[in-house]
Amino acid sequence: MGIDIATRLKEIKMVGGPGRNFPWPPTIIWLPAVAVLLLVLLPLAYLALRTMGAGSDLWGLLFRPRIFQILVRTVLLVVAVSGVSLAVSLPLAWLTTRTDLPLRRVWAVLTALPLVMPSYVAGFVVIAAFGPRGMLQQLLAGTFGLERLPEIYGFPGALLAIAMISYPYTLLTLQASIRGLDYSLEEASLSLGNNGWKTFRRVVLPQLRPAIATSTLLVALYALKDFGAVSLMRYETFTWAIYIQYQTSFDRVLAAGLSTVLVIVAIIILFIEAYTRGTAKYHRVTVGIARQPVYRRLGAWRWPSLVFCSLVVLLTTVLPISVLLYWLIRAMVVGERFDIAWSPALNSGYVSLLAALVTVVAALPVAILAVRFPGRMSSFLERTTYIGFALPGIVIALALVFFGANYAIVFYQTLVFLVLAYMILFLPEAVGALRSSLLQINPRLEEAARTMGRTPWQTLRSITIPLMRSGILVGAALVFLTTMKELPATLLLSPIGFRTLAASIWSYTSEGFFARAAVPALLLMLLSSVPMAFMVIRERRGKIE
Amino acid sequence: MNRLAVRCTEINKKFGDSSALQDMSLELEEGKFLALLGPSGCGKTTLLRLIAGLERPDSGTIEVGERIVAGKEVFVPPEKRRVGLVFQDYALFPHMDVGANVAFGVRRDSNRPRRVEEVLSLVGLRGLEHRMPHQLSGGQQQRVALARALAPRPTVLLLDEPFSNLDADLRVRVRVEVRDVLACAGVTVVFVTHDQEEALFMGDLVGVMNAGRLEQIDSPEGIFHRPATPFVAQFIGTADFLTGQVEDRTIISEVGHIPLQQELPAGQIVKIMVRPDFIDIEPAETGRGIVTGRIFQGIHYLYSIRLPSGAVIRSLQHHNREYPPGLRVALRMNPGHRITYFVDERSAGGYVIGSGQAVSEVCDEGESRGDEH
Repeated sequence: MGIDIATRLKEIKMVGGPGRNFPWPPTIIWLPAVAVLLLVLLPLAYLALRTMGAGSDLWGLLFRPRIFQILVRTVLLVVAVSGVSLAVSLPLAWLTTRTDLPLRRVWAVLTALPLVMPSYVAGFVVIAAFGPRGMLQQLLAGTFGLERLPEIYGFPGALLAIAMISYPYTLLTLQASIRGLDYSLEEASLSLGNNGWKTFRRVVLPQLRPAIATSTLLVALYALKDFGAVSLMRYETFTWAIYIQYQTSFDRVLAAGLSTVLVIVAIIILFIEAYTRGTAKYHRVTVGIARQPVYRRLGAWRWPSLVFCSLVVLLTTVLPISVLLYWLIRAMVVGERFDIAWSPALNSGYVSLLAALVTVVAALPVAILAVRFPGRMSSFLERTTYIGFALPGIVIALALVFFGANYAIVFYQTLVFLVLAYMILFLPEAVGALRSSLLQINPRLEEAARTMGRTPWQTLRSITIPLMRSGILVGAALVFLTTMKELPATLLLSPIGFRTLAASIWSYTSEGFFARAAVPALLLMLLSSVPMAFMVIRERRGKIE
Repeated sequence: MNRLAVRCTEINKKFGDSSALQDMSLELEEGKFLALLGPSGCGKTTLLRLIAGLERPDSGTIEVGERIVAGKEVFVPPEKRRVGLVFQDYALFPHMDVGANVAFGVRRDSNRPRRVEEVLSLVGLRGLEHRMPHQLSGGQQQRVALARALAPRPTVLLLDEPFSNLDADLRVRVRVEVRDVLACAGVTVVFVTHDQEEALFMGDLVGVMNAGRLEQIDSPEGIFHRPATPFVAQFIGTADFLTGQVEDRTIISEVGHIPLQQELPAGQIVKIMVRPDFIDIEPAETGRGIVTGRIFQGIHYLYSIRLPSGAVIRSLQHHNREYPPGLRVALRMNPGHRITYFVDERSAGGYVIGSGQAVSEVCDEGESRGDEH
């Protein structure tokens, strides 16, 4: 998530407008784009209306002590997750790119694996391993007679679960950034008498600062928006509090107030991120002239480094897989019914496919408008579709619940609203994939088609869309993947009786049925790895070409 | 006069604040080949895009085949103009084979496969229908692009720097082929280039553009011998400029006295164009010029000569005439050339130096020089 948003923002700056100023976008493009815009604005408008509706109570609403408590707890978690993931990623990134660490490539692959795990599966793994009557406690009880472990629920569990799956975002960004460094600058520093450590501190680190800032802020945003892990850990951050509010008292005003504060925090993080990115370009080094770096000998640091890498991989990859397999075997031994996972798996696949289709279709006119008809209107339109990136799923879901229950009762509790929520949430991913593939298509091709007698619509069908095929597939795969994992929107908006894998894992885990949760968790990760593998292969092939 | 294939009347086009075309007017008869020449950024590509309908003019009208396609309240979209365009980078559809590319613009009701075969044999690519664009060489891609644009039988064919992506030696060969193909097809062509040699070779007519304006449109020879502006003189071939002053129906200049062909007020300052092959030099102790530079071009030496006023002109000499820098030389005009002079940046006239009919003395009065030659 973090990485492709980053490259996308880069591209936005890059585009000077290869499409030139074609008279006026054809109706076939701008009409659907505006329709998409209106749909996307729906939850935000609803939220604004709700908050405004509070009128003079607004300030009283926002400055309740309870909201302040939640804010402190949320910020604490966000800061801790960002800190931990940076502390783990920076040495890992350096070790896997610039040193003679044994099995460097293997470590690089293993440390990226947690990316496929949704946060509630991480939460499930952490509870199953370290929770009361968990695997660790039972192990220790057998040998040492230990009855209680330190409490895992609350802050420590949430921190562990979220950091575990979000550090690869920082790691991958840093690795890419270190690979992009011009090694001759380090040689210059060494030749000027700075030793290795001084060179790192005075030359390398300042160059990495923008990458560190943006990747850490993206992880912060991820932690802020997370619902799955915090709810399983019963750690009351905004997302969890909003859900509780919705489940129990149904106090719409308080829920709207909480959502508003959450959105404001998210937007602040995004703004800081955009700001640091703005300064980042001064640090970027021209690619292509960079010298091949020398792999530094670790010497005495070799063993500590290996231990460090092993610990990280043990905790974030080996542990989850063993926990899931352990509970799978347990489930088989006790004769747990496996068929319970089939219909959720089908539902998940079905609704994700639907969401991928709808989102890509919605993203197409937006991407075409943004790339081929650059201007104030189209860039406003494109930026608006990024709302999904700033708004946590729980907020969009809640806004749609309220809106549906009041104004669109026909669609409420149907797949239409669920798919609409997914579309709003994941539109940025699809727009991003489509726009980067569109950027690679020479606009002259479309113009050539026009001069040969094709209307804009015919040109779109015979030239643009066939050439965008790869971008369309990647966009659809991304949306499919994230829809599979999405929890809060699924919980709030699924039609009654429509159970998905995400919802099953969440409910079984929160009720302590680990054996039942293991099957859907493994199935979910298996199903997600198909589009993931597809994208990785695609990217690799792209590089070879 | 033949039917007009293209007529542009006072077109203006701005991109943001910068003006790409200013009051551009142009007429081209059917079946003619017009080469538009100009430095990059002079608006020549914009003109093509306006004729093709890929841009809208801010003002002015464009007619194609005597039908208004752009003007006040009128804008015919590109697909309805019957204007073919060959792009600089060819813009071949990468997901279609050669046959499909060429067939793309041909209407379904007409006999498509036959037309594809026809144009492909015209460009000499018959049998390559099933190749994909990336399997073709640069020259072949170029010809597919040409065939593709010709296939729908356009009223006008526009070519935007079609040879700029080819290697130098290939370029010379391909342009001969393309000229033959186009002559064979009998189509009206507007061709854009920044290479003067290409323009002089390809065009029935050459138009020279500068900063959004059309400076001159004429036959290749006309453009070279009778440049309308100093810009054209300098852009086509090499030219140096000297300042002269009108005195008694003669222009007095450092290279000699040029008889005036028309009335100009005495004291009028004029700009005189001199090409390197107009000027002959010979070592002379009392000569007025000093050799300041020398470029060896193989067959020729190109000498730079500084005149007493400080002006520098160039002279083309055979390779066996080797003079060291610093040498004093006498200058004289070779006969048979037309010296053009300009008033207020427009051509005011020209004078052809006749054989033996010396433009009066160029060198110091005291220097003795026979009137041989």
